Amino acid sequence: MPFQRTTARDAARRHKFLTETFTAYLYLLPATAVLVTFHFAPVLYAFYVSLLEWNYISPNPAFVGFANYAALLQDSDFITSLVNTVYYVVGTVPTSMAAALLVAVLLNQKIRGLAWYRTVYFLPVITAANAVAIIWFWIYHPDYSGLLNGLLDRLGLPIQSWLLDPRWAMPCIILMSIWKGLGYNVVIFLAGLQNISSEYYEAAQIDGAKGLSMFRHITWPLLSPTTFFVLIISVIGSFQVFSQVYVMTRGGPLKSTLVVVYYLYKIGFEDFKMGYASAMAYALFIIIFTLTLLQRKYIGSRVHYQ
Amino acid sequence: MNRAIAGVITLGLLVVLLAGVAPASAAPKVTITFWHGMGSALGKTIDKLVQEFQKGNPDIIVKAEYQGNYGALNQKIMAALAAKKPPTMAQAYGNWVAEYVKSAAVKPVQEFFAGPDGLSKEEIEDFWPQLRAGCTFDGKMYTLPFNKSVAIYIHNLTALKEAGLAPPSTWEELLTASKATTVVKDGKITRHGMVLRPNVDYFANLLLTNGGRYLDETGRKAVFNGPEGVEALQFMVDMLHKYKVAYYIPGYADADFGAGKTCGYFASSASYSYTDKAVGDKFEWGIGPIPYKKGPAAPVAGTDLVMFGSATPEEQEAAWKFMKWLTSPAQTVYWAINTGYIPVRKSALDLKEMKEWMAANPRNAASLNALKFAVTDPNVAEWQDIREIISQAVEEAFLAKVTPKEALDKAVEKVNALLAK
Repeated sequence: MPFQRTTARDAARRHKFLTETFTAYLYLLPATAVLVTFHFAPVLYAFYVSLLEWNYISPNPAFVGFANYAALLQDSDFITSLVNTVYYVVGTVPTSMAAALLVAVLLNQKIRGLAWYRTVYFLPVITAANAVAIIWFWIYHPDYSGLLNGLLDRLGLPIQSWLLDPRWAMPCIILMSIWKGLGYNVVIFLAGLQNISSEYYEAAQIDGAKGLSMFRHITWPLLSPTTFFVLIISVIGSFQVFSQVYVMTRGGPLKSTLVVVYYLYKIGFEDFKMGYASAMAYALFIIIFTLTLLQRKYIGSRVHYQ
Repeated sequence: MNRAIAGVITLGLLVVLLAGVAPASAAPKVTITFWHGMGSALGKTIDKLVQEFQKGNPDIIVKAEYQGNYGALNQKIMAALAAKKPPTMAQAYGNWVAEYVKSAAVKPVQEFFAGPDGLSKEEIEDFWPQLRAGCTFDGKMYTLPFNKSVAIYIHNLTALKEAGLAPPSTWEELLTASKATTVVKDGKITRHGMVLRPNVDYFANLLLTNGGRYLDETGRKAVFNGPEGVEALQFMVDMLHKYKVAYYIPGYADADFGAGKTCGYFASSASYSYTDKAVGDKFEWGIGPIPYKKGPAAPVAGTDLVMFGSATPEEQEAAWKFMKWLTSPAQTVYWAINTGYIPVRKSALDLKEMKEWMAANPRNAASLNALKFAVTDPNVAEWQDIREIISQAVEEAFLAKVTPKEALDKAVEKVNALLAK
């Protein structure tokens, strides 16, 4: 009898386990279906396409193996776009992070109108790139009527043609991008700052620590997981810069703002060289992936987790 | 009781009536989709034409759908072709069609010419030959010309009158007029005589009016770095840097013209409504042909009507009917009068409405007179790449990075490498 009871209980348990597993998978299904359909499948398909010479509509694409990847190394425009992208990343990431950290620390104080300030800093992030571009076109207008040139002129300095000048176009895009993306990093830094227990500051205060040394010895080390996270996503995001270039300069003047993703878009969706564009996407993926691994290895080890 | 019987009879009659009517109204209706890139005022004119067509053809439903600008239109067509669900017909540039033809996605209009509702030889030849050439691939006519514009020179008449000048018709006069209308105040230029754009179209206007051309007669060799091309580019560079009577911007120039920053610019005849809006009644303005050096020429831009191969025969018949109607003399006149595009049929210029309208609108008549000198772009699939290469050369010369000759030599080398592939 006990024998039979055990199997009955086992069966019930197994039944319960199966239903629970089934239910769990059922819950996972919608998200999995979306991810597989719109992320994993296209990613794999893009790799297959990167081995083809294909205009997107031709019924018989030619299989070319890794020829598209080999062509990338010979393509001076691709090299230019890589150099420009690195310029952009170096121009935006450190400045943007430093500025965001400063603003976050300030917004972490008990000041009047805090909610208002936080909203104002976040507004550019959610404003459409096209709307932002219109404002910045006024700022960067190449003649005396431009805001920036008006300022230079008043100071007695020679005016510049900004977005029309190959030397200035990228700095202009960088400045605008820092302004636009600042609020996002501020929010993450703020969350990180508020995670730091006030006990540390109270203890340090008792020991006689002052503002700057408190920041150096408490805030900075305890904030390092957040800082590291912001660094990683900023580098990834900056390597994928697109909309600012698309709306402001279209890669010009003279390819001075031609960045990888804009070039990829142009090849893929204006020239319809799908195989080549997909190969470029994979090349960019490999670059970003390698950089992220390197950052984890060399910077990640210095992160201080609570 | 009576009431009930009356009710039943009425109902019965209704059923009989409906049954009797139904077969007639159920004559199979064909729906065709027409994708276009005509926004605002131009799009409204398309909608009016569609309504007009449907009045005469109740059995055809035309869905004219605006897809955004030309870039977006081509992207959507390509995506739709990839998904094997293209529209029945669309507007398309010649070099897009070249790509569709390569992928066997187009139903050539030529196949309808001999049909019961076809086009006679005279009717076909009534289309401007330059426009027909732009629709022809490997000797076969694939598309019908539709919204075609010619390049024009828009100028501030008030400013020219103040300077005591007539609208310029040669390069020489253009330079004189630009010098005369440039205003310098306290060492700063507050108004330029001309605005340029660093692109292939501005270069083309001067190249072609200087007797030059892009490619040789084989169509596979670039020749725009000859003396005609170098002079054309040098002329623009001199206006910018030597005489300082022009500046350049990458975008459209109508806003600057309306704001009085420049007294002249080159545009397409279809930009009439935009200029009109930008200027309002601030000053008097005029349209003239592109000033020339060797001889007048009017570069043609704009799209043709393409039909895709995947539609059913009924849909294709209906689309052909619509295309034929849209490009008929009467409709092309309506289209031209309301948009600034040119009539695609020669005989359209003889129609009463057209003549009356030209007499009443001498400003717009200028662009129509330029039609005799229309020149179309080469019909090669690489055209978009070639345009970009030339635009890059123009920009390099504008920025004074290299001389016009060096810029064009380099561009020709690149184009020839591309064409040799």
